[in-house]
Amino acid sequence: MLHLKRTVPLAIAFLSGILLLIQYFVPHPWSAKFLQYTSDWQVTLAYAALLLGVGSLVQSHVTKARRKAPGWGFSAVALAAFGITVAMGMWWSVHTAWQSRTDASIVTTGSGEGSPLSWVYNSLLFPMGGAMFSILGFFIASAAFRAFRVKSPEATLLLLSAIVVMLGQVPLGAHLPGIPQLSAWLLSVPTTAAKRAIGFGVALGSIATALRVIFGIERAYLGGE
Amino acid sequence: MSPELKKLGPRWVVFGILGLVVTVSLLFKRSTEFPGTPVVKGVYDAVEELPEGSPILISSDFDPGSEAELVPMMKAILAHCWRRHLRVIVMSLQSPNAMPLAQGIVEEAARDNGAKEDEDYALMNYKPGNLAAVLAIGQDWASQFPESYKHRKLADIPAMKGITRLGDFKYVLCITATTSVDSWLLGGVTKYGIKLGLGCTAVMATDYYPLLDTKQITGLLGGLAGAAQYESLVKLPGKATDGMPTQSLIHVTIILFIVAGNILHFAGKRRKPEAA
Repeated sequence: MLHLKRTVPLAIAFLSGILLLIQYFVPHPWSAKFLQYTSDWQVTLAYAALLLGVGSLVQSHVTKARRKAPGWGFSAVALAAFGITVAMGMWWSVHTAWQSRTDASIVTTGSGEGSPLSWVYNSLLFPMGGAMFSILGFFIASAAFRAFRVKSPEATLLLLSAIVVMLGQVPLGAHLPGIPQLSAWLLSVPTTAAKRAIGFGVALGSIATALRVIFGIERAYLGGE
Repeated sequence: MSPELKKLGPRWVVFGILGLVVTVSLLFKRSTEFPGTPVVKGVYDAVEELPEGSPILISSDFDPGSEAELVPMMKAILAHCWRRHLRVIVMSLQSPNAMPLAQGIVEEAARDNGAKEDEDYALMNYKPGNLAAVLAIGQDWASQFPESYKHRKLADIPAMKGITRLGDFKYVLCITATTSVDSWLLGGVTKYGIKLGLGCTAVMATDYYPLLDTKQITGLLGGLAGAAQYESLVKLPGKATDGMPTQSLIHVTIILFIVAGNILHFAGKRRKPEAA
């Protein structure tokens, strides 16, 4: 049993990691074929992961609603919305499947023009998504007012840079002498330097983690202790 | 916090002023043209240089939350592509919510520009897996997209003529509100050598500036400002150009908030020792 739980997954991780690593540097048709197969598998696994994600989401909300944990009402709304949306898609699939028996031009689908899912998307998801994002501007303004303080030379530099970049990002800044050039310089020199340093750090960390997983040093993904 | 800040700092005052500024600026519509910067022109030039009839791939990786910034951007790019008689193929790596939005944008832009479905453009579908999906279409397009979003076989779509893998696209544009561009970079640029352009939300733009220096992307459109610049380059002022006066006013208002916040903070600090 321990073999199935530990040795087999470790062997699969090792083989997959090593083979894909070698594949990247081998320009042979077999290598390309291998990449094709493994990429297709990964996409299939991604679909399976979507299902797992949905299952996990439903499970966590059901538990929260059943235990009447704080905010359980939101979980109930989420579950109801999920159930209704799935039911609408299923119903439209059956409806179009039934219609396609007599009209070959009709494709069996859960969504598409005139479907209930299309209504949910355009009338609910679309405005709610837009509203959520538009709130961001208000929070940024509020946070800037309350937290952006000239407390130290570094903070002053940060604040001045932010003001220059904010002005450089709008047409008004184009009319202020030096602002577009200074804004472009801030973005392309100090910001790029900092981002590149962070990028190198992240890349080295990712390589180290990948090697730890391939060689079985990192085993947290197996679960348990 | 100073008493003045406590008095004047409630969120609703900030929200109210900002709301008022947005409403008033939207009521008095005044378009302000925003000339294209070299960063934005990098995408424009890449599209401009493509020979007539070339296929271009747009990865529409955003959902309704980012509609305000990215829809005007995508519309301006589509108009430019069709003006240059390019074949546009649209797909998504983001989520199932991205394709219905992309479909609406493309079909509306097609009506405005007289583009025909399946001839001038084709819609594919959402594909999960990010990097894996990019690697897979790099090997064989049909393995991931055997049919279009509207269930038509690839062989029946003239816009897909000659496209068997990712490398057949002369240019790939990732319009995104997520990190999907990383998959296009790792899979598309590094592995298959595609030419990549990027359009993203304003908050994401600074993250991708390093890619310009390394020439991993030809250009970058950041948020509504990037879209307005592109509209200016293609001489098709639209919603992004209309939104520029409002964005200018909001930025100035936020700067004034920062200045006011600091004045009140230091005024409060100076008063405290006196009171003691």
